[in-house]
Amino acid sequence: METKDEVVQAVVVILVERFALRAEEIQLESRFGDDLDLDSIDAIDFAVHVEEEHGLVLDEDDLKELRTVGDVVDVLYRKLEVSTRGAA
Amino acid sequence: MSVKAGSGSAASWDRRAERGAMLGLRFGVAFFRLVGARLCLLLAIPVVTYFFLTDRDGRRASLDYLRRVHATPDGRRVLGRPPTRWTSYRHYRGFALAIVDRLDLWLGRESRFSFEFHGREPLAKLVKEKRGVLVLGAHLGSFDALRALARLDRVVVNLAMYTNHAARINRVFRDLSPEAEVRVIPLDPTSAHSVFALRGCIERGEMVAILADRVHPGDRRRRCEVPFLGAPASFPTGPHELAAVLGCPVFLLLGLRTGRRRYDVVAERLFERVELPRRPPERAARVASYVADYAAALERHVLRAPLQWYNFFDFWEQPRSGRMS
Repeated sequence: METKDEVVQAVVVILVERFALRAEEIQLESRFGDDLDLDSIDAIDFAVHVEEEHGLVLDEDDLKELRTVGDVVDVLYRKLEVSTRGAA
Repeated sequence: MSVKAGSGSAASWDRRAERGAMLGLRFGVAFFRLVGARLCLLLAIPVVTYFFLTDRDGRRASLDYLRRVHATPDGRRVLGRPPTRWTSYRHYRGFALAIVDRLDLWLGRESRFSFEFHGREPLAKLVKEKRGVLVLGAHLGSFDALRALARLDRVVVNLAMYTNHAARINRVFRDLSPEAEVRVIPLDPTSAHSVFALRGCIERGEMVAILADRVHPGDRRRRCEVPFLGAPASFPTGPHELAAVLGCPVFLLLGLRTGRRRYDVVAERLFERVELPRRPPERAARVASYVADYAAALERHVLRAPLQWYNFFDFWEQPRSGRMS
């Protein structure tokens, strides 16, 4: 996972495989609660899967700010950039 | 990940009901302090009679539940004859007695009670090792018996509940019994904060307690149907999914009244750890199997003390399953 498009893909894959959502209902502007019907336990589950599969940690402060799929993509991409820069 | 719930009439009804409950809590405690337990027990009889006579739906639900109990061999043995309106009245009266005991316990008067513990050692061992535990309860007997356990084993108990008034409830509990290490943590399906707070409790080696028998409106899709007293009934899956997130041992804990200020406190290890597969169909089936184990354990205790089941509504008609199943 290196580019923003790949981050989007990774997020969609988790949402489809893990939360039984249809890929076509997931848009960058989709809201987790109102549009995708995900709740607080889902949020933690999502964070755990992102960490297990991509090594990126979403903590409580991150989760508090995330309202849409696009928000998650932005935060993950930022974290990815930081970790790549750190590794270089 | 912030998720926002709808603001339908059910939610506002819930808020109103909760405000009423807060007022009732303060009034009930003040009255109890004023007149004492003995007079409260006497006054409970006319109050129960009034509620019994006027609550037609509750009466019907009680009798339906008692008939289901009586349809089982253990239930027949405990109840004796087929349930009548008189059995149902005793069911209501049991609830009133439990409330009087509850007020006593809230005032920190555990020393006036006699508790007989069953299966406490494994729980005490985990507490001693500073390992957090999730305790599942039910509206059977008194969950407040947990307070006795908390005091005895010197462990902080965090009651996870759906409420918008956690701070106020905590203040009332602190006023009533300043030494009690029991606090309320609000469960908010729309915020990950509550789950993080509960994880923090487990990491500190504390107990997290949650009632796991009623489907709450906030549990919109976290429910499944499992057998209970001979028919499928809806139970929440949220507590078991929370257990998976918390990654700690799970116990069933019930306080069954055996006499005036006397309780059997039963702790039973349900799961060493709840583990759920990733993919939704397998996950739903696995969650349902955990819930079925909880419901089967609960049923055994219900049949020991059927008149202490305090769900006065049609339990088998709770909202049906959502996406999870």
